[in-house]
Amino acid sequence: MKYYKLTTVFFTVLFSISLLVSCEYDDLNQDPTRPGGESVPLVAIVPAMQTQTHRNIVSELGRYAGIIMQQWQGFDAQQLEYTSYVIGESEPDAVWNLGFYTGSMRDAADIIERATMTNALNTRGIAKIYMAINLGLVTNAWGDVPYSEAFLGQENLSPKYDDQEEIYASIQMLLSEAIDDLNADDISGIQGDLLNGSNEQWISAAHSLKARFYLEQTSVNPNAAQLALDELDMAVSSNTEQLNFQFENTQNGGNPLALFGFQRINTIIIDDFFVNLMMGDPRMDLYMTETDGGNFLYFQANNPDLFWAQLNSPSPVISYSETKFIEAEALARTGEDGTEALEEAVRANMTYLGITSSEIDEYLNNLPSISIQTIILEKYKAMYGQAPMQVWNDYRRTGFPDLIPNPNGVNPLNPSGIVPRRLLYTISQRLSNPNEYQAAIDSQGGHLLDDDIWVFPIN
Amino acid sequence: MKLTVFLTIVTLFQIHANTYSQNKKITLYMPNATVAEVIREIESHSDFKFLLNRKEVALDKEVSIKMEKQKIETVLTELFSDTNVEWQVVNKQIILKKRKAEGNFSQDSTSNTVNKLNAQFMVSGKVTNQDGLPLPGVNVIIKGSSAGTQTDFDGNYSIEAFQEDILIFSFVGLQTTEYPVGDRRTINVVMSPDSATLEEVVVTALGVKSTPRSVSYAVENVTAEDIENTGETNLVNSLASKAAGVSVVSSSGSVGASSNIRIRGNTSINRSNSPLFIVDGVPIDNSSVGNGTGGADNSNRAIDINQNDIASIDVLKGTAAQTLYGLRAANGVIIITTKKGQTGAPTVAVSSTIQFSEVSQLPNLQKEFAQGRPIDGVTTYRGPETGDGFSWGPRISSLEYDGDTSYPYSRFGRLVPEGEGNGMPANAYDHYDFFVTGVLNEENVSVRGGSDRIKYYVSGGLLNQTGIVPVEEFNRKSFRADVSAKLRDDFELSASGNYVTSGGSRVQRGSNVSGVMLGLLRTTPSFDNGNGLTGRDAANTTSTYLLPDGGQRSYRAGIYDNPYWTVAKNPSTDDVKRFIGRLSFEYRPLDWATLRGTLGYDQYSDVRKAGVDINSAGNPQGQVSDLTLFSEDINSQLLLLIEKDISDDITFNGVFGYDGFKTESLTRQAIGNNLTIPGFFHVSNTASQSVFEDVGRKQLDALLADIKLGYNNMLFINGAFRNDWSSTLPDDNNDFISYSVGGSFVFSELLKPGFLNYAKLRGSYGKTGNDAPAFGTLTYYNAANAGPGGFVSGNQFPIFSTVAFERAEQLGNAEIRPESTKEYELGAEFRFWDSRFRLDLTYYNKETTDQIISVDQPAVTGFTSRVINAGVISNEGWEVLAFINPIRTDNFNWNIDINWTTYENTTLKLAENVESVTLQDISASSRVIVGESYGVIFGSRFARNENGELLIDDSGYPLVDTEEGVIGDPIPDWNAGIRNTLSYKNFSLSALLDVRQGGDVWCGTCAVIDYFGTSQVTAEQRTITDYVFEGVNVNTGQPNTTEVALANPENGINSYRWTRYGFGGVNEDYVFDTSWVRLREASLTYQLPSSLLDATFLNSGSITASGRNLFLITDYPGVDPETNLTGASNAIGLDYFNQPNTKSYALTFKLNF
Repeated sequence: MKYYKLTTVFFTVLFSISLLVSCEYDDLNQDPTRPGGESVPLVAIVPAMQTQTHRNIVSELGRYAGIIMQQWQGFDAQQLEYTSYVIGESEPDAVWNLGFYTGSMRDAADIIERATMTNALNTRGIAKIYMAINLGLVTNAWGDVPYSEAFLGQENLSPKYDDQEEIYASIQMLLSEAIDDLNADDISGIQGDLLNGSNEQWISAAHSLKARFYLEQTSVNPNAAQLALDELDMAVSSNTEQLNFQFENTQNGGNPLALFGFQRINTIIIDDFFVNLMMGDPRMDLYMTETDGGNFLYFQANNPDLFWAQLNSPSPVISYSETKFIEAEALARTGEDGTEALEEAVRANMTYLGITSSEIDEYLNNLPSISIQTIILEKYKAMYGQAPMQVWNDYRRTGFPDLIPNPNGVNPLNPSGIVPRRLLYTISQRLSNPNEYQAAIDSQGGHLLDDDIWVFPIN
Repeated sequence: MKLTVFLTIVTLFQIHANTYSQNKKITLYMPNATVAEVIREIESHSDFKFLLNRKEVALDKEVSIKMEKQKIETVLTELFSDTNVEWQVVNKQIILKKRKAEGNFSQDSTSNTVNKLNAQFMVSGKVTNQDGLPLPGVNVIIKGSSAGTQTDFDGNYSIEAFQEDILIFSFVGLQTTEYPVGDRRTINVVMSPDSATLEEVVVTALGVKSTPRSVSYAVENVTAEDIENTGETNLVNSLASKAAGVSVVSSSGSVGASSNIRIRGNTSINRSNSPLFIVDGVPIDNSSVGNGTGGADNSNRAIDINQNDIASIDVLKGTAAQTLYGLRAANGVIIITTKKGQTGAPTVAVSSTIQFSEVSQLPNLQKEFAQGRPIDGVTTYRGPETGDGFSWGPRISSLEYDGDTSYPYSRFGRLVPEGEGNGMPANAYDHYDFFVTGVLNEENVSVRGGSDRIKYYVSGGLLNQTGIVPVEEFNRKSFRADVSAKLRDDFELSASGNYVTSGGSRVQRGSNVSGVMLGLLRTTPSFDNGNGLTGRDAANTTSTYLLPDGGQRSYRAGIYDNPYWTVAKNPSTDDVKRFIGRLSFEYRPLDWATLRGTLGYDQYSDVRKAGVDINSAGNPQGQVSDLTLFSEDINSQLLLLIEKDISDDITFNGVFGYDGFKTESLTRQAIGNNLTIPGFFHVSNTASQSVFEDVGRKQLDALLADIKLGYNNMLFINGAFRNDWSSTLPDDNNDFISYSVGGSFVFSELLKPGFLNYAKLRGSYGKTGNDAPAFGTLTYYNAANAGPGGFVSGNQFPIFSTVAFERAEQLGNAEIRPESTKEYELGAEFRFWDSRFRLDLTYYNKETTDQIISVDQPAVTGFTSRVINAGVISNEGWEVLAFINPIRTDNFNWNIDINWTTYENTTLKLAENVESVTLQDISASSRVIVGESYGVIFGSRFARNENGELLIDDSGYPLVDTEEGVIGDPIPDWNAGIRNTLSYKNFSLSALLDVRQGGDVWCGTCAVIDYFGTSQVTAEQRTITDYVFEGVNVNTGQPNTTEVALANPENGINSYRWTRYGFGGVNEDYVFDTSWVRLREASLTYQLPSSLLDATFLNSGSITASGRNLFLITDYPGVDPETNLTGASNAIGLDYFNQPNTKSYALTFKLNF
């Protein structure tokens, strides 16, 4: 019987040890290769926010917008399917998740929270500008999007989707607060800014952006043009004042448009519509190059002429040229003459691209008389490569340029076959936030590519 | 249900000496019997075997014996109380001899010798096992009598026999063989393991050896023979279809590719589901790094084990079996026992194998239509210079060459419409001539021997293998030494060391524009990748793939790599140096208590380099990746083992101890971009670089206890307990308890002997778990990477001469608990007709709760995922093993081994608001979804009405559902392995048939080659103009009758049936059932006869011809459906330009001297 006793003793000892002892492993379970949040300064987060935002402008969303707007066309594979409007719930999932909400917007929210605690007001100012830019891009693509309940981590695991009208109000609020923050005394100044902008440059950019977001509302707010005009006094006033994010001439730091050219050779080329439109335009050789096979490429390795397809191509926060286009349209819409502003807009763009003034003058001499159509068509040419989302926005607001939808563009994602009006909410939202996702779809009457978003009702 | 080799038996005897004789109780009631009858009675009701010389023991002597539950000693004392016989019990053997002091008592009691005319003569010889090692203690008996002897220490015997006599050689665990004496004076015998005998010992957790009857859960044994002639380099592949409940899926036929192994399905969503591999009691690393959707196929580290060193493998399947391994063994355990030294003169075993492999199943490609697409309503040829990816051009027969020799893409000139060129008709090319014959050479040598104090085993192995793709190569060198020394009678030290180098040259595959299959299968039939050359010649000839201007010669001018370009210009190598060492002692202060300590060390470095040359499709600026992995595992263990009889009826076995584990890994990677000097793959030759460093580390400490009580060798109960402390769990709550209870009941003990000779019921219940991933308790910041990919690489900081960090997308959780798996298992074992028919049934049911999952959360919360405890995965299945020995004659033996498995592996619950967890996503995805099988295939699908009918629009084409959904179940309905082994004299033939029913795979490859128009089906169907899709019109609800042209050039490229749904089509269209029947292995072995060997220095030798995957019958249209894009990862059922599998033929020579 002593073995029973022995066993009992062993088990008793074991159980006692397991109950009493808690092994100490100190910091063994801390990753030595990654810092915790408390040791990361603002100066290290701002560059992440800026790089991600400028990537968002010209990367996937930019490519969808550019393809939909027939500046580009897919040549094969996935890009060809986007050209015939097969853009489902999966395609933009990563950009929604990683580009925006846990990318630049999360960085901006993180900076705003930290800067508020440390009173780094100037830095908070540009974080708000960047939050506004990103919020603008997501609402342009998807209409109602979460914002007021977003970025709370575990505290709110199913944030609601704000009405787009509220989103636009939030954007204006962010930009107004940004201007206040940038005007405030802050001894540490703007920390970590890769663009090295002065407070004044950022303030004028914020005003240009306010004007842009007001003008986007021309279909739903009769005062939109006037509100935009009111911002322009203090907006970006020259190409030199314009803030440019500078990608660098490496693959790690390269502009995503050039990276796409390198890494997905010729899967996107220039669309015939845009080729024909740019015939005779002095910018044509800066935008595209013709191959032996008769295709026009937006990218060609070792071709330094293609302005927007270099690894180190810039990405403006908002260009002076766009500011003047906004002014021209706002003037036209408020019954004033926008001709001068339009000419300045085109000149600013061409100057920026390096076109000689004589060529610019010749081009301006042949400009048709001013109309919303003229303004938008010129803007369509000028915004190529730097602000594709604005080109799509303008089309959805004004119907210009007059595109013929892809004849194979009828599919269940786009039943009417028209030029798409929005993107579908993405699959991870459907699977991880199903109730709010459904509520957002219901309140907008659908989310297929041909369903309108609030700010851009079809004319 | 396999046999156990001699080696294990010997070891068993050392450790468990005399336990049987001490435990076994004999009951006899024979008032009137002869000694012979008593002996027979004892033999039939116990495992005891008598050895005697008929001249020395009076078998006819009448005795009267009545005993109840007495030890054998008591019985023997009584039986031979007044004779001159002395006896000796050596475990289960009872040796009877004439007492030496006694006089000439012997009498010839064998009456049948009366008729024999010839005189007796002396027959002698040597008995060895298959490896040529001498077998001591083999019984040599003359058939029909009790006369016999035993072999001595060197396996030698001599016996007096008549010419007509037949000698019977028998030894426990080995096949009994008979030899007629005839005129021979020397009979040398090679004994082979016997699968028809009961297995005598199974290895259970922590290396504890138990009798099968006492085990309360399923343990399956795979022998050295089972894995020796497989022709596989990867140990994991060798296990395929060998054991019930074990599923193996190799990622591809690339040499050195990883394989996915699962025991009883998957339990964990995010953690590895791979079993724990234990070699001689020491866990070893079987991780695999780098098997993503693109890149090269990388190895799983079990590939470093030289299969020639393996003596046997035991598979522990259920939770109860694994309790003693605690947290580390939530997915089953593979226990590998290596070959050890043996007492006796050194014996040398040499083996040599040569194997040839060729590509097995490939998708069917078309050879009718040329590169191009419809332009203005007309199918138009568009050559490589246009970059066109499609093969929707005109018929190849409508084209001819123009003869321009300066045209760089074809030596015959460019293709032009018939009548416009030189009249030479266009060729259609077979792209599969890219594949070559792979050759494997393997040489192994081992020496073993020893004295009764010191035993040693030393082996060396060399393996060189080339693949079916040019430049593919895998090499392994292995050196192993195992020494044990009995320093005192009660103290033994042993040590082993295994040094391995492995690695080779890999090729790009998968979702990767440099992938071999991607470039190959998309190539239009009108383009010749090899430009007149094929295979290795083409790969070795630069002009095949390089244009004079430095650009790439490929069917679409470098948008995808020409397969010859990628094998020549995108090298990928790995170089593993690994050391596995073990040091252990065994101290036995009391005859019932043993103290055993083990220290195990497993360390390796894996140095990888991958180069992408300038003008490659994936990165035309060129790239170098240097990746170095270091891994170190240290295991320490101290166990007290107890074996003792508590009373006459009750036996006690106990294990108590400590088990510790510490692991550290370091990964460093430098990626340099933009080469200046072509083909020089060194970071110094790159314009910009990014570097990464990752550390993994973890420590586990555990206390454990296991007790087993046996009653009358018939009823057994056991309980096991283990408490783990893990560094990955939150400090204040970092321990976890595993436990199990079980019992077995050998009820045949209660039955009268009959056709059922063994029957056992068993049952067990256990709980174990899986700890948290390292570093999961905190939220970190990462070096910023502006992505996502969107087909291009991210902007990885540091860039712009600036440092940037951003918060990780994963929210840490300081409340994390281990996963918990509970399982019960019931089994029954039956053996009929002297074990010639055996059946083993197991039912198991397990449920894993508190899954540690990184669940998707809405990104709008600022995090895409968080680590939480949630979710329930259930796993339920049946395993059936059967063994049939339909024919057993002197010369001919036929065994059939069958294993059959079915299981359901279902997700019962996930976290609130979490509908799915993605395991891998590439167009279609592998996911975990509530109510669905683990790893269910998810993707785009057709719109259907409530009756499941397709909805067709007015154009006549099916509509696509705007939401993706479940489209396939990758888990097979059942799997079976059927092995037939036939032996006739010196020949033995073995064939392993592998049958799989059900199980879906998404063939992304098929989708894309349909899209590009290179698949055979697009050639057969593109001219169809009156196709009617089955379904109902979405507007009218009436059956669809609209006829459609599947490829009408007039409507443009995007209108085709294969392109209209976009790149890759509708995923649902490409999910296929993978049911298969394959001849996984077949081998024919010829044992060199002793007549041939007698005159030589050789002890034994054999020649084996074998084949692998000799045939495959399946409806799957892609490559061999035993394939998995992401190798050993949890995601299953995805095929996207996976490398094809192989079939092979081999010849093996083995010599022992």
